Amino acid sequence: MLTYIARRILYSIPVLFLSTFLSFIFVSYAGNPLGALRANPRVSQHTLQLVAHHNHLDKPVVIRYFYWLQEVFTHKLGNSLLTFQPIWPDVTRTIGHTAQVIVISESLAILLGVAVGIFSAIKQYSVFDYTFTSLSFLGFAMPTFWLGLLLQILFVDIYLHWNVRIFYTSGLNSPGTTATWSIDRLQHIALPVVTLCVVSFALYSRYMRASMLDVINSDYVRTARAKGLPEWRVITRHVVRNALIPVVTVAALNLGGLLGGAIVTETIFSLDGFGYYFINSLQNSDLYAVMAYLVVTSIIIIVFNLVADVLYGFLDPRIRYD
Amino acid sequence: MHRRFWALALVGAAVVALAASATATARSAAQRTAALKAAPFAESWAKVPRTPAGRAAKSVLVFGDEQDPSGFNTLQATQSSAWAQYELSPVIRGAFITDDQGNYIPDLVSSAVANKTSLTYNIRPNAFWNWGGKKLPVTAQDFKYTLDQLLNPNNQVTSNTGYINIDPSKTKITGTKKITFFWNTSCPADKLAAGTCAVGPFVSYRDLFSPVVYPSAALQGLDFNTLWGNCVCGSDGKPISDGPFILTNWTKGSGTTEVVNPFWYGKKPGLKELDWKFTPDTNTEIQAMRGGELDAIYPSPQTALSQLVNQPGLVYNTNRAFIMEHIDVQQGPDSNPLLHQLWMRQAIFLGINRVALIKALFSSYAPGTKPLNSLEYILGPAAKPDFAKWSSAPGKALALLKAHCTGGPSKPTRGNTAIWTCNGTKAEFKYYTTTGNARRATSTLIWQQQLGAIGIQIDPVFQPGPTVLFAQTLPSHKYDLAEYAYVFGTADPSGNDSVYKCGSPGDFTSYCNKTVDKLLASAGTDFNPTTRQATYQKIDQQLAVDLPIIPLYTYPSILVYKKAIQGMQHSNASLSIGPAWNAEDWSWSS
Repeated sequence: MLTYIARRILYSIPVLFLSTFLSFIFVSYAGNPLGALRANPRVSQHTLQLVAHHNHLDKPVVIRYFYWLQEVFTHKLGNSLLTFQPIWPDVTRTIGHTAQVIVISESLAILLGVAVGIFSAIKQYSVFDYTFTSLSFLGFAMPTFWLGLLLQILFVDIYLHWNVRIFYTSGLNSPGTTATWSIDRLQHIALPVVTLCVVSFALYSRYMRASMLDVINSDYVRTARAKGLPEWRVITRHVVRNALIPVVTVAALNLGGLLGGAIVTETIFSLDGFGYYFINSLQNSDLYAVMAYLVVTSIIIIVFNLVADVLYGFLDPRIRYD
Repeated sequence: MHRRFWALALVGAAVVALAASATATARSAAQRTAALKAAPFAESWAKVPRTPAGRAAKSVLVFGDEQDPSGFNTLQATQSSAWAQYELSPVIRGAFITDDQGNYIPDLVSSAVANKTSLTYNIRPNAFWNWGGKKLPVTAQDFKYTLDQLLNPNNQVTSNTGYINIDPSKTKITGTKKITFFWNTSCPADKLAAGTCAVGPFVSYRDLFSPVVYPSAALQGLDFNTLWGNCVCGSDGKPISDGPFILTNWTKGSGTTEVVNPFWYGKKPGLKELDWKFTPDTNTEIQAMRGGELDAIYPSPQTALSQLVNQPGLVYNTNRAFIMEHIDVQQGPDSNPLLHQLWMRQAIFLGINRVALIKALFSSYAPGTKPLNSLEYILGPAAKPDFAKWSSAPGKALALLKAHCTGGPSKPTRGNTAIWTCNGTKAEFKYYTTTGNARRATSTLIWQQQLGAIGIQIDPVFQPGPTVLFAQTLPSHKYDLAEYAYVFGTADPSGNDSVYKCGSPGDFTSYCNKTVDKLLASAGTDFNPTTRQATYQKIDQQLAVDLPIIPLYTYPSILVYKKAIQGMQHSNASLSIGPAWNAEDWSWSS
C-alpha cells in the first residue's frame, strides 16, 4: 500500500507540471493582463511597456512559464501581477473560508444523503422513496445561482415582514462578532451552505440508494437473514457498511472538487473564498493569482483522488494495491 | 476492521484540521511590507452596530463596495480602479475636487493661477496630514514630490497627461505653501516622440494634482509601483490622510474602515466612521440594502435595481455619469464609401430612435434618462443640445436616401428587406461592438430593425473589447460603424481632443476638419474659461454638422441610500471621485 501511495505521488508530479504548463499557456492566451490598461486611452505607451517589462509580458509564453515557476518556488506562488503583493497570504485566507463552508455543507449532505438513501432503499417504491427521488432530481436540476438568489430574497422578505434576522445574505461576519465558529458566522454562511448542500445531498442520496439496492440483494445478506439475524442488524452491520464504500469515494472526490471553490455560490453571497478569489483574478487577468489557484486546486484534486483510491482499498478488502 | 476504522478516523481528523484552519480575519499586517498597524478589519467591524438604527445612533455608515481594490495608489497603472478611488476620495485629497455638477472646487489649494507660462498653487494654510496621529502641514514639497513621481520614467503611472507639460527643473517654491510650475518651452526630440514631454501650457490645469497629492515626508524611500498595496500609510506603516477620514484598516475580501480625521481642514464630518463592505454581486447588494445590512450602495446599473426604486425607507437617486455611449462612423478609406457622404450619415442618425432604445434599456431602473445631444460638454449648463436636430425622423431619412439611391422601401416598413443601392454601392454596413454586453446586444438588435425599416442594413460583429475591438479594430480604422463608450475622467472636454483632431491616435473615425483643428488649438492655449467654453461649444456645433460620431446616451449612475442619511449628493464624476466626494457632509438625521 505504501509503495502504491508513493508511486501515485511520484506519477502526480509530472502530471502537475504538465497541467500547470498547459494552464499557463491557455490562461496567457485567453486573457491579457494589459487589456484593461490598453482600453484606457489615458494610459501611455511608455507605461504599457514598463508594466509589460516588469511582468515579463514582453517575453515568449514559454519563457514566462519558467519565470513563474521560479516565483512559485522562491516566493511561495509569487506576487500578484496587479498589486505586487504576495499571493500566499491571500490563498491561505480564502481557502480557509472556503474550507469552512464546504466542510459544513458536505457533512450535512453526507449525513442527510446517506440516511435518505438508506430509507429509500429499504422502503423501495414507497411514498418516502418517490418523494425523495423527486426531490433529488429537483436538487440536481436546480441551478445553484438561482437557488442562492431565491434564498437571499426569501430571508430578506422574512426580515422585512417580521423584523426577525434569521440568516444574512452576504459576507462572512456582521458587526458585533469576529469569531470563526460563532453563531454570527454560522448565520452568515448558512445560506451558502444550504445552497451547496442541496446538490450534494441529491448526489449522495442517489448513490446510497443505488448502492444499498445492489448490496441488499447479495448472497451474504441472504445468508445473514437465513441465520436469523434481526433485520436492523442485517441492514446496519452488513448492508450499510458495504453500501457506503462507493459513497465514501464519491464524497472524497466531491470534497476535493468543491475545495477548489464554489465560485458561483461565493460570488452570490460575497464570500471571501477561494472560488471568488479565482474568478476575480481571472477577470483582472492577474495571471500569477490565477495560476496559484490552479496549482492549489490541482494538488487538492490529486490528493483527494489518492485519498479516494486508498480509502476504497481500505474499505473493501477485495481491493489490493501493488 | 480496526485498521479501517483508524484509517477513516485519520481521514476525518485531517478534514477537520483543514476546516479548523479557516480564519475569519486577515493575518496581522506586520507580515506585509509597510504594514498597517491598526486592528484588523474584523476587529474594527466588531465595534460597528448590526442594525441601521444602531449605526445611526453611533454615527457609523456602511457603504456597499462592489470591488475589492487591488491597491490604493490610484495613480499607478495596475492599481487604478474606480472603487479604489471612491474609497480613497475621503482620505487623500488633491488640489481640486469636482462637485456633483461637475464644477471644480479648490480643495487642498486656496487658489490656483495659470497662464501661458506658469501654474501657481497657494496651498491652504490649514491643510494638514494626519500621519499616525502626527500633524504635518501639506506643503509645496508634497506637490513637487507628486510631480517627480509622475514624471519618473521608472514609475508605472496611469496617466501623466498635463504633467509632461511641466518643466520640473524650473519649479519655484516660495515658503512652504506656495509653488510655481513652469510649462515646457521646448522638449528633446526623443522625449517628444516618446510622449514623455510636451510643449506649452496645459489648459485643463485643474485636473492636475487632483484627486491625489502624495505626502512627501511619509513616503520617502517607498517604491511608487508597490505603494499603498495593502494600506494607505507612510513608510512606518501608520495610516496617513489629509482628508476628512483616515483609513485605519483594510481587510482584503471584507472591506475597509475609515474614521474621522481630526486634522481635516474642513468642517467636522457628520459621521464618526465610514465602513466600506465588500459586496461584489449587484443582486446581493440589492438584497443586503433591502435587509438593512448596508446603508448605501452605488451599484452598476442593471434591471434588478428596479426592486429598489420604490422601496420604503430608501432614496433612489439616478444621475448621469461621465460615460458616453456612442456610435463611431468611419470615414476612412477602409470603410464603406457611402459613410463618407454627409447625407448617408444624416440618414442613419435620423433613422434611429434613441428615445426608444433608452426606454428599452433604462426605464425600469433609471427613468428620466434622456438621449445625449452634445459631444464636448456632455453635462451641465455648458452642454448645448446641438445634436437634437437629428432626433428620430424616419420619413426625413427616407427622403435623403431616395434622393441619392434606388431599390429601397417607399416608406418606413417593419421587416423590410429592400436595401438601397447608392452609386452602385449597397447601403450595408458592418456594425462592431463588444461581446458579452447585454445593453449593446439590445441596441444592435434595435438598430437593425429601425435602420432595416428604411432600407439600411447593418451586419453586427461582436468582438472582445480590450483585446480586439479597442486594441486592434478601432485603431486600424477597419470598420464601418462601432458602438462603445467613451469614459470621461473629468468634466473638462479637452480630454477628448484627440478624438476629433486630424490624424491623432484617438481619431478612430478618421474625421478631419481643419476648422475644428484650429478651434481645438485655440482652446488648448486659452485660459479664459468663458472664451474657452465658447470655443468648445463652437466645436460641438461643427461636430453636429459633420456627424463623425452619433451620441446615444450617458450611462446612468445610481445611488441608493437610507432616507435617514443626510447630505449624500450624487456625483457625475463617477470615475474620478465617485459617491464619497462629499463624505464629510454625510450624517444620520436625529
